[in-house]
Amino acid sequence: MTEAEAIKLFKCLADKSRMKILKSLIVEDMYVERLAERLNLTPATISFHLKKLEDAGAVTSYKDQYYMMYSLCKDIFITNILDIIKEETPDAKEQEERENNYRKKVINAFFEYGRLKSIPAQRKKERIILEEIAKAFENGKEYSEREINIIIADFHDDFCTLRRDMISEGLLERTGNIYKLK
Amino acid sequence: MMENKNTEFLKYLDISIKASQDMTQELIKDNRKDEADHEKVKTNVYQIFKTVFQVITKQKALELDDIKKLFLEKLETIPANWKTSLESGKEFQDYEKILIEEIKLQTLEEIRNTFLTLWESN
Repeated sequence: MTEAEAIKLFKCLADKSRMKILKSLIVEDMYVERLAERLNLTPATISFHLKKLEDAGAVTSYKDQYYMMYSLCKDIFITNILDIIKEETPDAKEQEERENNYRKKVINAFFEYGRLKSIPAQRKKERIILEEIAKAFENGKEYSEREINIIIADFHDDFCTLRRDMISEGLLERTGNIYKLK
Repeated sequence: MMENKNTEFLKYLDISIKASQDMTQELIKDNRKDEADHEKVKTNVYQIFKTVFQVITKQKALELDDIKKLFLEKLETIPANWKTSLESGKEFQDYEKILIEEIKLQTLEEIRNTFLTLWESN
């Protein structure tokens, strides 16, 4: 478990309702409505907490007939806390983790459900956004300008600015009227 | 009579705001920070409609029916984005957004029902 993962898990556990959910799941696997009834919380609140627990790796879900069942990830709780503390994070890994966190933060701030809310003014942030858009292109495939515009327009209406910026940032290359990933 | 209804409705909103703020504090004490944040959303909705109602009732020469019409209009226009946001939350299984938008809309429904009950009573 990385340091970031451990912190995420500990933060997630520091909540009484989530603790109660885990206490219920340790007895048996359950679905949202049953947990809601047992804990006297709304199903929407239970779903919210389960999502957090799932993201932290504390619970997992599976489909059982009509219900989505949730179960405790026992392995994660068997891990010794001392081992987590003792675990050394190499500098390079730590830096990579920091960069990934920053990247995630920028993406979450500028994208909503896969659409770009606005084009970042800061170059560093725009670069991250452009790299994210570039994932929609296939490596080695040649695209016409129209195809490029259609793909970028799925993210933001100002596809001209984004297309030009992707070229100036060296993510796309243009030969005549043909574009491809660099 | 109009003054009475205005005062009654504002009193209901104030009591609701206070109850919601108290609940937030209780949840924080109970180590349920996320649920406390969700309760704050509810407080905000009461506060928004308290401000809206006060702005409407400060306009001169309004009859009871005018206040009702204007306030009900606001109860329709203000949450338009909340409904869109709830739909997109459901589409993308964004549980936090679903929960927040549902809280906002449920609180709005409660405010609307209380307002109508009060306005239609003699």
